[in-house]
Amino acid sequence: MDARTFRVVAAILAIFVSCGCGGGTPSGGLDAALEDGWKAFSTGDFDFAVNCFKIVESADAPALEQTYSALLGLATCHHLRPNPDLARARSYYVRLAELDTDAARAQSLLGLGRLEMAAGKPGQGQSELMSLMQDYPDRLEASEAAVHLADSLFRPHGDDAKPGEFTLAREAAVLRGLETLEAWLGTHPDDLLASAMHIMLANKYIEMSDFEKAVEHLVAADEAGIAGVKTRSVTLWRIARIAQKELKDYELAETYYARYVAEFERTVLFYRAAKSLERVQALRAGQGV
Amino acid sequence: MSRISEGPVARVLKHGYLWVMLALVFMPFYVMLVISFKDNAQFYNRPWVPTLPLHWENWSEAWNTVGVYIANSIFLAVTATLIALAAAILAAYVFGRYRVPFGQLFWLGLIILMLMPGVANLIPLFNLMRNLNLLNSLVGLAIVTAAGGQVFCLYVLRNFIEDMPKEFFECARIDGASHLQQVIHVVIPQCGGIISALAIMSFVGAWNSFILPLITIRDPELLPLAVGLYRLQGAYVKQWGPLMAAYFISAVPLVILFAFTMRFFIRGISEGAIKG
Amino acid sequence: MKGLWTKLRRYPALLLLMVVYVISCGVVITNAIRAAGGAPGEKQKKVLRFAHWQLEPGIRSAVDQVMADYEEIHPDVEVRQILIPEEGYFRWVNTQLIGRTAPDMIQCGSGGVVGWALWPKFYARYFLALDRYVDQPNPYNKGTHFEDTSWRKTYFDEMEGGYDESLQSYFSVPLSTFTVRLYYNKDLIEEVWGPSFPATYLEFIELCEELVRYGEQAGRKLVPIAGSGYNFRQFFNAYRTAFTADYLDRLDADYDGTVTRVESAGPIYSGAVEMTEPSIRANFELVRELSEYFPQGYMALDRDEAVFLFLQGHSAMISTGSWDYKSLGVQSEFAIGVTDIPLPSKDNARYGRYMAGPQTEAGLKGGFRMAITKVSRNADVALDFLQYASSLERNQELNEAMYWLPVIEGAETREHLKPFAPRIEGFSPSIEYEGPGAELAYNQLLPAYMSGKIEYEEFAQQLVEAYRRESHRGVDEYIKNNEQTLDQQMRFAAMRRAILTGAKGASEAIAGDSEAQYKRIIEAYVGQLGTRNNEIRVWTENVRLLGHGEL
Repeated sequence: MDARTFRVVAAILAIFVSCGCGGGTPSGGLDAALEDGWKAFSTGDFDFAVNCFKIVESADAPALEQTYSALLGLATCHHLRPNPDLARARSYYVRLAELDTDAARAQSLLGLGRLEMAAGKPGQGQSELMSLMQDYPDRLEASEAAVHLADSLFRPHGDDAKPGEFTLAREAAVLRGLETLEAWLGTHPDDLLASAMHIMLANKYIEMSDFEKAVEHLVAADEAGIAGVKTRSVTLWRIARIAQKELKDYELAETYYARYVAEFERTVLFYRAAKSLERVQALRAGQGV
Repeated sequence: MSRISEGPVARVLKHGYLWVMLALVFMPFYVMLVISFKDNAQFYNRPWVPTLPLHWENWSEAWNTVGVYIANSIFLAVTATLIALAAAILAAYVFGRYRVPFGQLFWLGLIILMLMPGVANLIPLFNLMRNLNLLNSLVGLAIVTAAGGQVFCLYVLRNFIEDMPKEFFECARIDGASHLQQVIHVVIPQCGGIISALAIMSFVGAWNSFILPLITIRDPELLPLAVGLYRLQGAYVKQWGPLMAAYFISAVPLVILFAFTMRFFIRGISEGAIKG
Repeated sequence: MKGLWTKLRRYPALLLLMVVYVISCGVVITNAIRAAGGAPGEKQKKVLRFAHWQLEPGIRSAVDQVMADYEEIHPDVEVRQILIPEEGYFRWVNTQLIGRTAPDMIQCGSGGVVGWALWPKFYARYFLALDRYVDQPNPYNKGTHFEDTSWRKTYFDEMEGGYDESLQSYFSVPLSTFTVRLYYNKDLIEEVWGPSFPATYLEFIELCEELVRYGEQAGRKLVPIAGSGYNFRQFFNAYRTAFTADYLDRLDADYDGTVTRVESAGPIYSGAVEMTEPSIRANFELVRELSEYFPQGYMALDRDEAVFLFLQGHSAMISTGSWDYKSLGVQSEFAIGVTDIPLPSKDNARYGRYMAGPQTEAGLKGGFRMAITKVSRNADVALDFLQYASSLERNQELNEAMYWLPVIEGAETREHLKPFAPRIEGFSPSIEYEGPGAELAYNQLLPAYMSGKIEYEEFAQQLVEAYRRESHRGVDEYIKNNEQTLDQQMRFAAMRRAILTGAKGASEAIAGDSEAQYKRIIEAYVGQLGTRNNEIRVWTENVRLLGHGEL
């Protein structure tokens, strides 16, 4: 190959290399790499996110909070991406726990608990979540752990060999789930996730046809403050509907139908709620109330 | 038998058949022309016959719409044809004249490329174009179209060059011609017919290319004709008059091309028939 | 040179080709310069590209006008439309997003069932979340009563149309809204029936009969209703809701006010709800009765062909949306009237007792939704343009020009469009006949029944058989698909949790109040867990019921 040909080939290769490989590397310092990593995570670009977090993880002397962010990012990416790599996620969660902060240890326990469940070891997962709830009862991760623990106890299981066949949760497990959530709410009435936990309890009590308790929890969820507009509208409707149809508590039904009609004019249930409000009002009048 | 075939009835049948065939061929042109002067109301009410008033503005609207597409298609087709032929002639010269190490392997590799359906390569090709920043670019599209088209040109040209008498090249070499000069002064004049035919085929192929521009070109002002017309006809409520005028206009360049180049095409094909 | 010219003269085609090639190169280079932002010699402009599939007449010019007005107050910006036919739109968007060549603004929402499942994934990956902007006032509402109102609150639906429930975020900006009505040829109906459109369902059927007779007498084929595979669904759904609204109490096992596909499929599978129940049967029979007045083989006709029939005067009525009002008006040579799809009244002897009422439009959300892509180099300008187009005054002007319904509260609607105003009274659908796994069978059996090839009993029996054959696999897939939404929610929750626990770089990566978002995501997550558990319970109970022969 003469010198001229060599230069041409080298130039072509250089173009390919610059065009093809330039897009996959983050730029800037460690903080910028972390920001790029979390951005990529939020957009589902997990490979790129992992590259960014690895830069920080393998840097010479990153600050503690940078290491925390990078390890959490790596563990979360491997755990929650489609086709997860649970072994790698586990190793990063373990390393996360080695950092000497409550946040890191709590995140690690939550991650490991969920990961073990995903790996088909519900007992181990549940024990990780329970230790998180015991060791860090005032942390956000512990509240979420309570939700996941209850979910693991309520969750029906499918059978891959027999599509469409499910095994419902055993009664003992369901009772344990209910107890866990109720105990948590007893000690943490102002928890950030209290509304979600009450909704979870209500769902289970509806399944068990214990409508009084279901309504009790739905009302508690409403009182705790529901952040999602749709979740709030559905909660008001459920309270009113169950009160009317199952509990025959027309006063409660009237209150919640009235609130629904006042707050949610732009929903498909508005007209039904308005008609039902008229009906319960008539029934109450008939009862001489 | 011959009396029957030359009789008046046979003549009428023969001519009648030809007229019917001609009418069938020209029917789409008639329909396009008639509808191109109508507004939608006229089209919905009397689609097949001319109606008054004639909407000449459909033609200016159509020209404004497809004029750019035609320019893009000409640029794409000519550029792709030039690149494909240049690459194919040079490569065919090497494959046809010289035995190079692993030459047969390279050749088989190229033949396999030709056998591979283009659609099967679409996703890797799209990724490659994305990484090379060639998406939404007519030059990029021309390069890729040429890359796809040159394999067939190479396949055809190699056989022609192989069959050329060695003496032509030996004489040229004795006269001091370099490889490039041999290609220009020996190969191209000797293979003029088949190169013309290949040029026309490459041109038509690039002109009609649809899938690749459909997925790689974003901006309307960069669209070639086939995709531009698809976007026009895909409109939910079609404006039939301007649409048909646009079809008519877009058919004109190819009609002109064939009118002028028919003899080259036929010559190239018949050379192929003799040599093959 | 002279020698070359002499040679070229022998090949006029080559000469011609060279000339047009040079001209084409000029056009291509000019366009390339314009695409980069302005004509040669002019100051570089910011170019915004705006892709949508609204190719109906009048829409392009109306959007052009808004763009021109915007460019007038922002001379450094140029806005361009990219019009893509609806049938290929979703695929086009898909490739543009993957290729990172997507335009700045993209209309969202097409693609049928596949699109419905994929758009949330696209939002999460390729589009800007608008949460941080929707609670700020729209600057273009300055001087109006919305001056201090948040952008979200200026919408008639509080911008619900731009909100993605599964991601708990705002991703798109709606610019119009739509409802579906029955359009009719006023001149023809007046000639055949009289000045006013039939008031009851029975009169409507009489009108259809009259139209058929009128056509026969006039020696031409006159089809009363221009039905097609496309608008059949609109007809059918209107009656499905009217006949089966009362099933809500029977089928809504978790009392959330909606009947999911599994909540319907389980009882149909086990026979707890029979397809031969009077109101269900009446639903199908009425639609079949009506389809007698549709064109032959209407299920195979597409939207275009139905419009063609109507505009040619071969059909007297067509059911379509408010989006067609202008295009039908411009193209028809007759006056057009608009009315509701007629329902039997309560005193109708055959159907009255099953009638609940019309389908509600109270949940109507904004449409013609534009989202901003993350690859946009001018995302801030794109946002500004969308705020401009959704300001009170501009949104009214835009929709007036398009003959569409505006989305901003208080924006005036054209007088002609009043019949399209959303109907608040009415019900939502309360049964779903296309259960998971049985969709194919349903879509094969329904045309067979509607065309009279099979009787209702056979239709019902074969459908239930299909449920029993296919639902196990279908429900399994349905549950697994829904799990993907739960996974997506967990990713967002993890992101918010990382921010709340001080993970460096995370708070800069995503906008919005993380505590509120986290709470909202977990609430939605437990809601979906509850729905999933409820669906599995309903399904399992129905499988058990059938297995034990308890019915």
